[in-house]
Amino acid sequence: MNLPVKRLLSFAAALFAFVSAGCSNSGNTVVGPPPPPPTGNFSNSSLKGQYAFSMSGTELCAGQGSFFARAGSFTADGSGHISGGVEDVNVCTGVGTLPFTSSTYSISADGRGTLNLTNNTGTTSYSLILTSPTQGFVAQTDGNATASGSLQRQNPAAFSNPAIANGYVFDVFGASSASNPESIIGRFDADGAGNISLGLYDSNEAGTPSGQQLFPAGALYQFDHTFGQSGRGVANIAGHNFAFYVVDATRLKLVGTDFPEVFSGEVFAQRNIAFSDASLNSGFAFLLGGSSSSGPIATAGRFAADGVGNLSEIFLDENNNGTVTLLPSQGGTVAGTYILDANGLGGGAATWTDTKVGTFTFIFYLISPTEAVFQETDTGITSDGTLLAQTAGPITPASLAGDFASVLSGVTQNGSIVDSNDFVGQLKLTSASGNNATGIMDFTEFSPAHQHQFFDIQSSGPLNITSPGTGPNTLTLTTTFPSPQTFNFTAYAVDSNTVFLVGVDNNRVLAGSIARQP
Amino acid sequence: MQKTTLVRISVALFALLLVLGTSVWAQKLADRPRAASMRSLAYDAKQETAVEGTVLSYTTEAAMPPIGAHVQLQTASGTMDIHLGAASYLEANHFSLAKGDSVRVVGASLATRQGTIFLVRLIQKGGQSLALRTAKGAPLSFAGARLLSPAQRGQLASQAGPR
Repeated sequence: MNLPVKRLLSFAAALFAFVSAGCSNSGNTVVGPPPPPPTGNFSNSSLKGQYAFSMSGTELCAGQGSFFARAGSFTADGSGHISGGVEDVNVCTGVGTLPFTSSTYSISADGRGTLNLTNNTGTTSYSLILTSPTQGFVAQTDGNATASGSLQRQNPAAFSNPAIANGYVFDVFGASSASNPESIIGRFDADGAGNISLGLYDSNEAGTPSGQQLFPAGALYQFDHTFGQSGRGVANIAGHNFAFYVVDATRLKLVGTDFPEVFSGEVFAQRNIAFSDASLNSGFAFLLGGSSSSGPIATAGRFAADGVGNLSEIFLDENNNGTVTLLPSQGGTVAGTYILDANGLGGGAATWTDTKVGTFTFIFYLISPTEAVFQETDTGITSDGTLLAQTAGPITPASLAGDFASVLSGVTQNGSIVDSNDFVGQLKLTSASGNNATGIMDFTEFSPAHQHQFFDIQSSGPLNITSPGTGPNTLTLTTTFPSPQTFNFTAYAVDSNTVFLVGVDNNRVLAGSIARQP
Repeated sequence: MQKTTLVRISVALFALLLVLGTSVWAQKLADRPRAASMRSLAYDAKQETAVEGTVLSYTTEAAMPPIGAHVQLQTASGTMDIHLGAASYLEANHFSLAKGDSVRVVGASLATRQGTIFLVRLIQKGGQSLALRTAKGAPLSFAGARLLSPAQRGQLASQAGPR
């Protein structure tokens, strides 16, 4: 499944004390107790070929945390070496296109690994987890910044304008030139010759939705002469300039190249059909992340659409900078509606009201009848993400049993410090009741006060599935090293291969997902 | 010559069609929910007020949400819970607060489940003034550092580590 990983939040958590026998703590790097030997069929040879990656997160800028984004491409030789590539970065000092020189990577049997990418500014280091030899999740874990995102193997046959000819849906998130959080979602047609038409978008800057807009003049896309062999090109989408990296003809990764604004996002080929209300006719799970007036916000949930404009069986978990709201509220009921745009191009709006909490409004652009980009449009909230059709169910512990790649992003309040966090690792689920989830992860705690990296941190706890499993379930993970910490999540299963997670603790805002490994 | 004229007419017609096409599409833009609902913790710039008071306490560890630095402010009309956002943003801008400080804050009050809270856009102490939010009410701790001057950016770039 082409699951867009949401860079969710950008902020600053020092969770742990740094002492334990048998473990290492070198400066800002903490390594957990030796884990059991990894099992699985991954190895260095699993990462072979050209891969596109994108991520966003928090960098340190003049003593402050600041949102930044990067996207690029590298070539792995299957033996631990990166032979080349290039990336575009949009950081607080400006934008740049930086070719990689000789770099390295390592993949262990469970799909976890490390990636070191060197350019003329130095070496950045990442932890990664593969869901398959063609894709995975990645987090920057080197103390220079914290960020997370995804990588996918590229198809070089799509590195030309003629290959990019279709309707496309896009979703970018970042900061406007006025430093407001901004989300832009929409769709356009690409003609295979570099021209873009029928461009429609909805922007949400600092919780103020624009309403649907036409692309301004100047929309285009063009492969790069210098770095075209990396699948790199440039585009003007919705009035903003981007560098793009082609995964294949159905997916491109974007990083904004205007400054001081910054955006990170993706483009997905849209099914060539006339969308209507009938296009939404199943259960859907969603995951959103972004920023509200008070700070980071993460939201996950699900609803059922009936194909004629009505929404039912609506559940939602929202963590707005530590304030957790659950729908249906206690004693409340939730009902909603949706409408597809009359032009058939896949745009639409959804609204639901909890009788006690109030109304929630969203817009979306359908990639297909089973996938969409999703944006909240309530005042003061700038948040976007993914809407995916759910399996008919039931979801059970047995159907979820197996190995999963996990990625999480957000912030944690720890004492007087608020840290940005990015986590990447593996979660093993069993069909047992009770303590059926065990995890191992690398993560960061990043703030102006300190920049810490944690490796091989193990966790365990219960994933409790409430029948039929397509509504809110609970996942509790507890770490014992360097000190006991408990993470409480609500888990919304898309199907037995993908689960959305949203943290429901008052001292942290986390969101992410797990995706099944083979 | 005739062929050139035809080409020009054709180009002009095509351009006209493009304009008309755009116009038609503009008329078909979907009616989005512009007047979206206002939920707890949404900053409403139209409700901004200025408040003066004395700091009773300053904490960087919130006892209750929202996460971030809070001040208990004694004002003429009572005690207020003031949310300042990320403490690191205050520290990076060399803005310190302590019990007994006299401050003036501009922001908006919000009713939350935990009670009323005042989200600060601008804080002033003595001759020092610091914007904590954009004019739209978004925390500047998100990306405010990107508004550095070119000279500041240049200096930072020369000191920056790997990117």
